[in-house]
Amino acid sequence: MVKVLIVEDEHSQAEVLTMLLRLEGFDVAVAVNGHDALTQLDDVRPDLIVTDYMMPEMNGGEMARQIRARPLHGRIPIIMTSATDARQVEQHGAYYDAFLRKPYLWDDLFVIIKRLLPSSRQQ
Amino acid sequence: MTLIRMQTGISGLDEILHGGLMKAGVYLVRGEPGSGKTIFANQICFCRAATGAKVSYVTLLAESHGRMLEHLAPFSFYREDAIPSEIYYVSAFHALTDGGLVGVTTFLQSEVRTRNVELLVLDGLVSVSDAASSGQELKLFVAELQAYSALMGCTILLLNSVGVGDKVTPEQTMVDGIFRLRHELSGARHERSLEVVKFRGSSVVGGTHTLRFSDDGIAIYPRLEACQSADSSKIGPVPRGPALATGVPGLDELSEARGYPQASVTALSGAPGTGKTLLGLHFLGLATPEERALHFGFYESPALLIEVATNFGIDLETLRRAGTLEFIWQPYGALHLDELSQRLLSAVKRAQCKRVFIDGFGGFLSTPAFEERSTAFLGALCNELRRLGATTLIAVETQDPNAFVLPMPTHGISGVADNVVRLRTEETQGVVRRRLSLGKVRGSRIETALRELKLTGAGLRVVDDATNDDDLAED
Repeated sequence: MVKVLIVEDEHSQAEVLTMLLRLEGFDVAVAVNGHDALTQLDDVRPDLIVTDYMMPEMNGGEMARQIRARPLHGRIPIIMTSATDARQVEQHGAYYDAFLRKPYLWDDLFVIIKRLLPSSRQQ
Repeated sequence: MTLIRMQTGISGLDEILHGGLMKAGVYLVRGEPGSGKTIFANQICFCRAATGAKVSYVTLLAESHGRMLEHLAPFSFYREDAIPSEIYYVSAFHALTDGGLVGVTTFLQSEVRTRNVELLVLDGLVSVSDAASSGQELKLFVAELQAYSALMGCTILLLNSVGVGDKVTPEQTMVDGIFRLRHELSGARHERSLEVVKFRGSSVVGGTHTLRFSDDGIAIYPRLEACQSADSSKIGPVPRGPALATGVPGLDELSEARGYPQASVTALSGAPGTGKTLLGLHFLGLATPEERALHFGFYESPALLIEVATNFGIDLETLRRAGTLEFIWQPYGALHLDELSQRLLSAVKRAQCKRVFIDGFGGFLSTPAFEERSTAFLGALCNELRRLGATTLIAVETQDPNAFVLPMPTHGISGVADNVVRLRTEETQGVVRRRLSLGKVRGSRIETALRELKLTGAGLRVVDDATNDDDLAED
């Protein structure tokens, strides 16, 4: 089963996204900020990460930078989402694979997820 | 994702919201039982269904929806063939009793996902509030709905009854917008209104607006002065051009403008019987296909006015038949202020009327809200009439037949009118004579001397007091 790690400090956002991904057959784990996500990486070993940018303790951009630096997890596809100005997020543009401006539609996210997952891992 | 608007199909509401609801927003519709929440929501449902969208209407009632649909059937927006393929009525009663708030959340999410709905209505939020163990649980319920609606692009309306005290409830802080419906007794009348208490993502026309029911459902009448202040471009440049002839011999000559200045507002003030209505009919009698005319009256019927005009050689009937002159009559005191102004302004816009006679000002004075809004409302109404290029006469009734003053309090009419024509009667040597004087004419020097206004078989004419016109028959 494909594993998706959601990194989101908004509880309701994470809850709804979890439910939708599970309905599509994904295995889902949730981290509440970048620091929490880095801690969980070895245990969860996700196939894909959907992360918010603005989060306490460690934002999504810094988390993505650190993940890219890790030999074991450096190639995990990362989808960055943010309600903030895209220019702020762009400074970390080299570390993520796709960007979605919040609020985004589930259909748009799902299309990107399918595009980023290797065909062998598609649901 | 940019903010996309969703039109509601409720007349006046999209204007207040500057374009409609925000797609994927969560809105709270609050009001006392009987304030129109259900009709409000259903009217939006049928509007959206008419565009091809799927809609779900979820109630928390144990009984069927048959009775509600029976009440909706008489409205023109109701289409039986839209149910259930386009509008699906379903109860979440068991989801709530069996699963609590989580059960309702799951039910609603499933409804949105499986039916791919654009709009979802939850009628009976009060039942969810009652089932919530705390305000926090209710907040979480709304937050999850909000997150879900944003992801799925589904707009949600939550209908909630207002109890005694109308206190702020937790869900009000969460939602994207709050519509407050009210119905209150004002004297013997039921006054209904709508207020947009909160609306994220856009400015709105603030304050309360009149809400009315008709066979077409709900219509909202935005407060005229609030609409204008919200859009200053509406107070645009006033069209300029030659004055419009008054149609009364001798009257044009009293001002440098030679008539009523184009796109101006004239107050015709005088006691009953001083000639206000006839002065207005003379003005309308000069209507042409290029200068269409409108009589906006409260008192005499169009048939009676045509008869009166005919007696004085003014052929209004031919003009009416040709479509050059329109009569709009409304029952005195039955309509609300903004309903009246919308009727007037939409008729002026529709026919591009250049000659307008409001007969009379008392029709506006009699509305419940006038006292409170008089000057601001009149200012906005006159600005709009000027902007539309209409040259308007307003008959203003004074009580004292010998007085030239406007009614007290003046309600701002003398201030907002560009021109003032004063009429009165006086008795000399046992003969009652009509007198006329000009109070002011916009941008024009005027003849201020008192003149006699003679009523002849050919209607009114202004004569110099020094002129001996005894050969003219007084009618």
